[in-house]
Amino acid sequence: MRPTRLQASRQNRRSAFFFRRGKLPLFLTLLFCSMTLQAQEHPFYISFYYAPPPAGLSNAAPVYQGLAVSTDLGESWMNRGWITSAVNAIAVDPANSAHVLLGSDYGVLESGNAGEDWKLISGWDMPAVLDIEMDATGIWAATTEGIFLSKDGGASWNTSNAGLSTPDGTYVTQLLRVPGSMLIATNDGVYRSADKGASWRRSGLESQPLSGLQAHPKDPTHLLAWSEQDGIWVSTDGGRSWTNRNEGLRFPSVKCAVFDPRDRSTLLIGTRITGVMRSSDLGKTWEFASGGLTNLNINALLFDPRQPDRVYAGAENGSFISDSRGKTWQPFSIRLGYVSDLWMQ
Amino acid sequence: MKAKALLFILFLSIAATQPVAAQLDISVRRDSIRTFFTTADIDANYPAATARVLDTVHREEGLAMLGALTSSVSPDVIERFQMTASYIHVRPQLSDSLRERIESIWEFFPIRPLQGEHERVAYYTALYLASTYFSPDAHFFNGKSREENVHDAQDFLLNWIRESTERGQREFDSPTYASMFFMSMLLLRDFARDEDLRLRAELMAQWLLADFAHDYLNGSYCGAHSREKRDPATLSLPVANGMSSIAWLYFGDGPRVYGRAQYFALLSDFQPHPAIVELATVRREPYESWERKRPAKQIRSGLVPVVDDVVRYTYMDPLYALGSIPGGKVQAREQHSWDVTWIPEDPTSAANLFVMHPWSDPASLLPFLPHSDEIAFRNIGLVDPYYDTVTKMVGGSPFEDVFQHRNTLIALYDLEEVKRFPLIIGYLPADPRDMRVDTLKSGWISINTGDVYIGMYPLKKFRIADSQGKPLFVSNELRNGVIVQVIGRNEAGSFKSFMQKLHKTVIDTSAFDSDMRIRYTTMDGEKLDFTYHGQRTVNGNTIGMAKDKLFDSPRLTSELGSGMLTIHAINGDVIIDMHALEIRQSQ
Repeated sequence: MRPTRLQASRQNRRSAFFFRRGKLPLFLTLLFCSMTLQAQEHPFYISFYYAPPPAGLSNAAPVYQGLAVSTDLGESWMNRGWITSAVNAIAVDPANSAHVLLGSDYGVLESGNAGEDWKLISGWDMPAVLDIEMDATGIWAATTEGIFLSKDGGASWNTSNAGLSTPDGTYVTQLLRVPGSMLIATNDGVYRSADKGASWRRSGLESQPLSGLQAHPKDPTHLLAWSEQDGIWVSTDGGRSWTNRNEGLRFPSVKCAVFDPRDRSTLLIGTRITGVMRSSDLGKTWEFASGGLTNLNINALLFDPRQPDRVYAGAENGSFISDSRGKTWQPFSIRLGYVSDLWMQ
Repeated sequence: MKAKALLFILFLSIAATQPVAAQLDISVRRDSIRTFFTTADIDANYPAATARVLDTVHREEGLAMLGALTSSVSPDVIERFQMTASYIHVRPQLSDSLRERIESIWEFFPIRPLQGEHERVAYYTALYLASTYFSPDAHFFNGKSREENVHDAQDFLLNWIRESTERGQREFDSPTYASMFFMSMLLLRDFARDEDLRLRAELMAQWLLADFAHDYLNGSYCGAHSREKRDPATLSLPVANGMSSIAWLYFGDGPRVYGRAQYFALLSDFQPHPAIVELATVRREPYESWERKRPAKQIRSGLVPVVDDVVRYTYMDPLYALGSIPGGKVQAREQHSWDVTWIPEDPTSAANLFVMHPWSDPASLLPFLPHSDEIAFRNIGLVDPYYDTVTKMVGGSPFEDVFQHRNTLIALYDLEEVKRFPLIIGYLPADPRDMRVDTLKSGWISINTGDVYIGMYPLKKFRIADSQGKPLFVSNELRNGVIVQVIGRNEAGSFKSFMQKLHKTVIDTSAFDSDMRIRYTTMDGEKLDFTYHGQRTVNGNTIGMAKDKLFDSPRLTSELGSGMLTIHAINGDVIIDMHALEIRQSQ
């Protein structure tokens, strides 16, 4: 982990500025960053963009985005990260939850202190980053122009697209680490690399423009892949074969999906229009599970690792919590706009 | 040291060949611009603040203006760029507190993600200069060190220069945004510490200006372009754009225009090569111009295929220009697909004509905006409602196709699948000397602008509406199109004679309803055959741009990938050579 810079005088210097009306995001920076984050006991991160501005302030600068951080299981929140950059994905160091990477439209941002300071660790040639992972191989960035991989903590980056159908033009939406290999969801199906990104081979769903990929946390042979156009597919053999599970979906536009960690057959999907849908037979049948949702455009779902009945949902406009394994919902404590990713220790 | 020597020789040769009269003229124009920005009663802006600080009489006023401007911060990169340009020019006059404030803005406040090419060039130019000239303990919002930022910025800028000169620009020929590229290159030419970058920036500034001069007519940047500011006032008045102010500074033949980029250009001792001034101002014969450009960079949406190179075609006459994009689609949001521009009798009156399909579709924004479709749609609705209005004056459409040969243009529109705004709108000159709409016999709309006559033949039923005193061509037919003929009075004679010739042209629309095919015999007797998204022939020969050319005209040529631009001047060829890093006269 790279040390990050802290300046004792920063808050005072920042306060010297007076912000005129219509320059909302910078005012918010001052507001949030004047709070000090304490030790990371139970970090909970939500990346988002397009939150509504606080009441009473101008709507002239509508794009307000970044990373929301809570250390008290969501009771209180602080805004961290660059609020002018759409943050698409979060990656957290398993050994140090204060070491955070963000995949953003600026590239890859890194913080060593849970978001108090950030450094852009990618160069000018990094396209928008849609997903980010870190593992023993290095830092993986899924971008609109393929995979970028850094093996030196972000000091240098190389493309890692050998074997992809259009090496410079493949749109990669998600990275999924499974034992022995890395899977990626692309605009041309699923690919797998078993040699740390040196080469990629197809792993099904060729020519499908996929939006994401997920594995069961305890059984990585159980996989989900989904698309915003053509619904969801299930694999029970590690990606060798896929079965479409759209029957019963009223509108096959899937934006996120998760397995219930306690059950290999139960899964939740977040959809574009129909909110959350739930299946207890691996997608053969579906039931609506949107009771309590006030927004039916769901981007992210996360089972609480501490409380297995609890699930969080990030929506296009708001965030929600369920204490019934995703059957019913209620609004969550933080008011955010478009939630793009959730991470919890 | 070789680069430094070449730079020196370049300036020396320009000074030696510059006509004395032109030098006097430009000195008068320089004084006028300087006086305007120093004394005019205008809203606070960075060029005005800079001008006042650099003037001993108005220095306190300028410093106060700079203080006011920097007391608030915007995430807009153009504002950051102008602030940094001011800093670079007036840094010896700044108080410690003002210098620290500007440096603090860079330290604490990020910039919104960069969407357009001009924003990227402006950002990396400003980042390079700030990282070079800020105090040694300066920090930056991106967490990178000064050295890292200089490295990133220089790498980007050199790559952009190389790609633009070898493969073409993405944001091309924009009457407003081109001034940002030019201004950036001048700042680097004057203030980059790296000699190689300084020299390349000098040559790139000359290259950009030659590209501009090639399509320039008495103050106006003519023809089609990738992007333009969504300002109806400047869209209908081509001489009121940023590049027009640059033209007035260097070429001096158009109407007097002041612009922010122009003021920063004034502070540089850069001078365009005389061959470029000649290219812009000496027009003896009409010429056809082909230019190859690159499609806009896609930020998102892998579902949108990468489109082919964009081809731009312009017919430059000493009195008018007719230009279009016959190949490749650039931007639904801000593209200007075709127009006629002429030299008006009154320089402040509108002097262009174009027809467009006001297409808007959230999905069309995805390649260019760093947001998901939901966010892009909402964002556009909030910050850019103009994009989704029926009367917008910029924007390409996938439902239009254009074919042009010299002074004749055929634009076809197939709107049968269009749900929102299935109509075409034409922006006609507000106050022509004469305009005849002959719906009963010939079907032509004939326009007399003074020195230039324009004929427009709508293929389907239309009406002329009144839009705040300006005539607006409107047609709701779903399969539609117009034929446009332009000619100077010097060639056509009287307006009556022009109309007689126009009415004798042969228009064959027999295959239009079935195949969207038009056959048209021009006033010059040339036979054009055009099918929507299909064949395009002149006298039976297929025409198009040569695949190995970047620029192709009698006045300007460049081979694709060569990095060399040849200006065919009266006294011989002048070559801007990005590999040899020199401008040289051809042997």
